[in-house]
Amino acid sequence: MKIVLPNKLSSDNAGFSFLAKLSSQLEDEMFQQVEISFENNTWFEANLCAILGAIINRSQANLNDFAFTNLQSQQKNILSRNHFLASFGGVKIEDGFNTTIKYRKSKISDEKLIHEYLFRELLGKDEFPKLSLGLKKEIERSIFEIYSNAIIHGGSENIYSCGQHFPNKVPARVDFTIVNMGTTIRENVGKHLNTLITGKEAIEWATKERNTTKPKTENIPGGLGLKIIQEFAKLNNGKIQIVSDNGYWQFTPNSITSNTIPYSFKGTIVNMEFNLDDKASYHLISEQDEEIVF
Amino acid sequence: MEINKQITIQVFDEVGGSAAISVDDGNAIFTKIDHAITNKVNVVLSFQNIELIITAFLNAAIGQLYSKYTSEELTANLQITNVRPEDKRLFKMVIERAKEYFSNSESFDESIKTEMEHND
Repeated sequence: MKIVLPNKLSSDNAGFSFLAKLSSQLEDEMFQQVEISFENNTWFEANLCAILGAIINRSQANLNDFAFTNLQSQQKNILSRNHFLASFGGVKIEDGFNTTIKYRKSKISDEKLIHEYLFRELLGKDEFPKLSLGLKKEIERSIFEIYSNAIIHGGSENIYSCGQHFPNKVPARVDFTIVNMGTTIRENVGKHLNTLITGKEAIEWATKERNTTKPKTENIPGGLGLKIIQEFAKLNNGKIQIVSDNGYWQFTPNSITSNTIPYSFKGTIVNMEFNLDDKASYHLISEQDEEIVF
Repeated sequence: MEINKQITIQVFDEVGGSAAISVDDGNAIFTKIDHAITNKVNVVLSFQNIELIITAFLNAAIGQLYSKYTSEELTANLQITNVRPEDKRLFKMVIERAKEYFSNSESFDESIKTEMEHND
């Protein structure tokens, strides 16, 4: 079986739709030799390795075997620097440019190791642009709100992540993608509301403030994590994209859009794009001396 | 012997570092606070040396308290200290959300569901 990657694979509707289609195509395959060919591909945003890795890992459980072919030297270099190829039998090399944030498959019990990984790969790097402490903290918080959502709601054993630093873009940005192959938002929200719902409607519901699918019996409130990251993305002029089942949702400071994609992705993808040229302080002066009131 | 009426819980120690990100850790802290208040011991919950807090942790550690206690009871028995200025808004959000959640969460969900059904 041969899968040919498109000319451009980016963090956008077309890119996510292609990967959802790939996931769908592989769903019922067993005992296959799968060739993933880069012969037509000239642009591959490396943060998408989190999605590709998650799809391949699930398919490997069906005893399918994978090989990457026709990589150009530049592609091979970046996918070796971010340790993606190393996870599938290739080599890993040092990242002399320090633009990668390593591909990682984490157990959900590894929350604290994920914290160390993030510091090592992103926020603690000497070579990383001199971001204000406030901006670093908000980036870190956004990422952990999403990890936490994946752990609480995804119900899958592993969480996949990968990032990419684009220092030459204007503004300079980092894309960071988190994937779980567990229960979709559509399943969670549909079950919680006890109603049939589309993937698009489910994400729209879940991203509204106060909405949570946590069972009442647990006595733990929820519904704030996605509010926090939307607030920050607005201030930071960043972007949030969510794909789950056949729903696609995107937040930018100017608009929220959502639509139905042609194939269902049996898991949840969250991609966050952070603007690194942001000079805002994220220190709300009026709140500094206020007491916490119960 | 005089009975100690106050304990201090160091979040840094409870979570094993500077990141308060785990729901399990939040649940463990909730249980300790609950145990103390039930036994009429006041609690100081210190966030000294904590550099990262997320809402999922706070929902479990603090928000969950509203399932058992009123605002007045918490004001009388729990003191939160050493929170960094930039993190205070998270506490406010979590507290407001918890009050709302335990007062009318079921009717809220029902209204959303009804709204969606009408839109079909």
